[in-house]
Amino acid sequence: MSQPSPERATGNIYDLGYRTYQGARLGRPYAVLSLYLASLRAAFGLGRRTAAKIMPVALVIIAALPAVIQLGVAAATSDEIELFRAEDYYDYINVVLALFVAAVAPELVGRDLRSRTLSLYFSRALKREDYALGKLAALATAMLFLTLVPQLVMFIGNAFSGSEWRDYITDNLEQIPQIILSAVLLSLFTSAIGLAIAAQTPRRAFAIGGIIAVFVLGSSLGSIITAIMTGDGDNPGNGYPLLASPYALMRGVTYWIFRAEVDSGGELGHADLPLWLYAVAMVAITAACSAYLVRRYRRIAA
Amino acid sequence: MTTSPPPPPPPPGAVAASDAAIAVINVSRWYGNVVAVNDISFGIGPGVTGLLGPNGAGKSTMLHMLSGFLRPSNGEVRVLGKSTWQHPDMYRQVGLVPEREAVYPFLTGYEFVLLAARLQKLPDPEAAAARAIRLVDLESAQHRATGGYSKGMKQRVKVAAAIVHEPQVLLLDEPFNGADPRQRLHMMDMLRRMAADGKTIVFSSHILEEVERLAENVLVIVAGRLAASGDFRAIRQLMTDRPHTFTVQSSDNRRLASALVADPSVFGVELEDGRLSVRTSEFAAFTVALPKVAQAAEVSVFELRPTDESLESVFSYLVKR
Amino acid sequence: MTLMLVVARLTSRQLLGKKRTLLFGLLALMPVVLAFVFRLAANDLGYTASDADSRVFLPDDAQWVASALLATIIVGSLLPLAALIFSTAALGSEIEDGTAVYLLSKPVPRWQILLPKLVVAWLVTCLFVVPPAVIASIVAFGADPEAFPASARNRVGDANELGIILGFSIAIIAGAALYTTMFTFLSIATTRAFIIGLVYVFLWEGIVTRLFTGTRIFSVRQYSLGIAELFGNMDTAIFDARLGGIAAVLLMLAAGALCYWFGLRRLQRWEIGEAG
Repeated sequence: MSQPSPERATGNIYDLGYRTYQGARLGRPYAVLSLYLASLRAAFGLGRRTAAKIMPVALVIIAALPAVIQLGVAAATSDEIELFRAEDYYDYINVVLALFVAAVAPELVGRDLRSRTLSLYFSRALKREDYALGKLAALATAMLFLTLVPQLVMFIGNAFSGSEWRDYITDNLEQIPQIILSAVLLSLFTSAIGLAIAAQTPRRAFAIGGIIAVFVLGSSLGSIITAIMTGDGDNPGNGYPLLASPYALMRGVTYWIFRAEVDSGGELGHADLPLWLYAVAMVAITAACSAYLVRRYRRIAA
Repeated sequence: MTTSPPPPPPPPGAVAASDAAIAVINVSRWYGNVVAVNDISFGIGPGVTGLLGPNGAGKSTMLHMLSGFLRPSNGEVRVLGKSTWQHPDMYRQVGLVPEREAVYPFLTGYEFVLLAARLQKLPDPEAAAARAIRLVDLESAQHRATGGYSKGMKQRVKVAAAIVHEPQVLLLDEPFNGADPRQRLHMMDMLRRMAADGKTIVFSSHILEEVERLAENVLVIVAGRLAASGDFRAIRQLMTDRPHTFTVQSSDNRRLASALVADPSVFGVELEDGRLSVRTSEFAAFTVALPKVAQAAEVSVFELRPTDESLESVFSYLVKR
Repeated sequence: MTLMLVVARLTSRQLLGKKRTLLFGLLALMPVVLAFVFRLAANDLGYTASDADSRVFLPDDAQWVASALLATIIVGSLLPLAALIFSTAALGSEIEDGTAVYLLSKPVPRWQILLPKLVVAWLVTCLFVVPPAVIASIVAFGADPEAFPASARNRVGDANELGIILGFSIAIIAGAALYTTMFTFLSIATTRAFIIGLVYVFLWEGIVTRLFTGTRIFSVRQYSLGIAELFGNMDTAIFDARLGGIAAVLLMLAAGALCYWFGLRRLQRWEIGEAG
């Protein structure tokens, strides 16, 4: 440690041996990949305090509960038994999906807004739209743990609970692409809505409240207005308000993908809309929210 | 943690724990497995005391325990004779300026100080608020919302709220953050005047210059332990295992150098650019020896100056030990 | 007392900040819009004759108002959401922002800080939920307000419009008190009070209590509905609570006392978090 001596103060620049980085730069794709992986870890609170892990992990477990129950019952009765059908699965856990998005989306984008670290990202190889889409991809991937994983668990479990698992798989082979397509679509849909809202505010409570309002209140509003308009099925043909309900969209799209029969006494039956319309609405909403997210990050001051 | 080591001897320059305004007795605080403050004892009397330490040394933890917002895991913190933990009554005589910048953005500066005065149950809150605002020199902005204040203004309005009830003890966490030099001087002046009135003032800082200029008494906390306390010049004298360095100006530096090398109190000698610097381990012995050696060598000494008595050098010594 | 008024005034200014009020005001308007849509559709479909003299009171009307509008939308979603937003804003956000220290570093017993914060959060919650509930019910019934007292006298002790509105108003006021106490306790105890509160409301009260009836004794929503039934004197054909009225009142008092006590204890032992 050299001793400073004010009396002798003259200007000096010391060569401390710092050098600029001369090696290869991995560039934009690598930066996007890094952001994606870091965000995916952050979604489950990995590398953060225990308190940050509890909520996402608990919701993942709850989302898998119906599948686990199905396997348990099948094991206990050692029979092929169908408690939950694949096309109904998301309907059982739709609140869990919404809560997961509400818990995680503000963590992924809110922290950077709160601590004003966006400028650090944008001064790197990362483009603004890369940030937006990287976060979206990370959240959608995290959502797959609540959509795809339980469905696959249930499918495999069903196959092995019977005596002839090969027959089950060959008989139900078309379910695999159906499961994957529905899981991917729903994950993107919920993530895009969640991030589009969460990116608007640094305050966690506002973001969470907004996301829940859209999913839960939007769904009950859509359902109730549809019920009123169609007179609980007495007056079919006015079912369009149901397209405002995120839960109903998720149900309609799943039924469309699984080519399942709609119960005429249920909400979808009352609304009596062609099922492909739900898919069109979902894709449109997903695209609109993603575009809005990208636009938000293009314009944000950082 | 079942047996605690015997308390260290009371550091010089500090007040005995019994009659101090602030008494910290064998205090430790840990978070899970991380020890933030490790068996610290000290007493603080009236005057300005600086709590010095690098970031993460445990300064804030210590200050929060002094202000009753952290429970010591072990030991006891007493302010004005009362344990601070779960005694909100003590705030009648204690003022706290927290580190965080947040204020109620919708309140004006005056309303914010008035709120503090009302919560202190002062008989004339309006007059007390006006006085506190005048003391921190914020009159011109007192009717603007604090949400639009600059960092330095927020800092000052926080200080005003903390001194509105004229507390015996004032605790400030990093009070000079964001203040410009003029405001800094003004605030230091104010704190000195309060100290002169017999108040006890404790502030934390990692900026040496501030502590050096304001504090009569220094507590150095390093890695959760009390590394030193007292007047920092006195602390310096105690560091015998670390050589003191002097620069000497004389009629013949080279000749003086060769004579000094022979003296047992001298550690090393260096000649550079016509300047002579001498390192010694014994401060007192050297100051006695130098005139004799110079006289014997027939060199006249013009100037003798310690080079490293700044708090910074003391501090880096303590931190690296 | 004046001290608590000071805290209460500060809290009301915090809660009625422009942006939050506007957003929540929009949310609170939704039940009214919904009721309006219902009224229009019901008239179209001839649910009810709309002229006041020959008005026939159809159970369909009352059933929709009680079960769908009041029990599901308002007590099930709007009330807990309002309580959650306002009680976390009253104390939780102060702790998160770091301004709580200014209140707590004063020679004021902590209950005198907790109580006014709670009361204000409760009053603001009621302010945002009771009027929409009453207005939406009136709109849905399609009644002209003058007919109300008369119709009430005519059908005392029967399932009637006034009874439904009165019962649910009391239920909302009582439910708001317990929800705010509970969420305030949560926001003192954890920084994640908001999402934990949502999980409680939508997973526990919304799904678990529906699947496993035994758990209804741990559901604020069920307490509120029990109280609505008790005070509204409603026919079970119109609305059927899962919890008896007296049990609901007792459970609510017990839960409220417990949450208040825990919250006060946490606030008395509140420790400042690590910076940031």
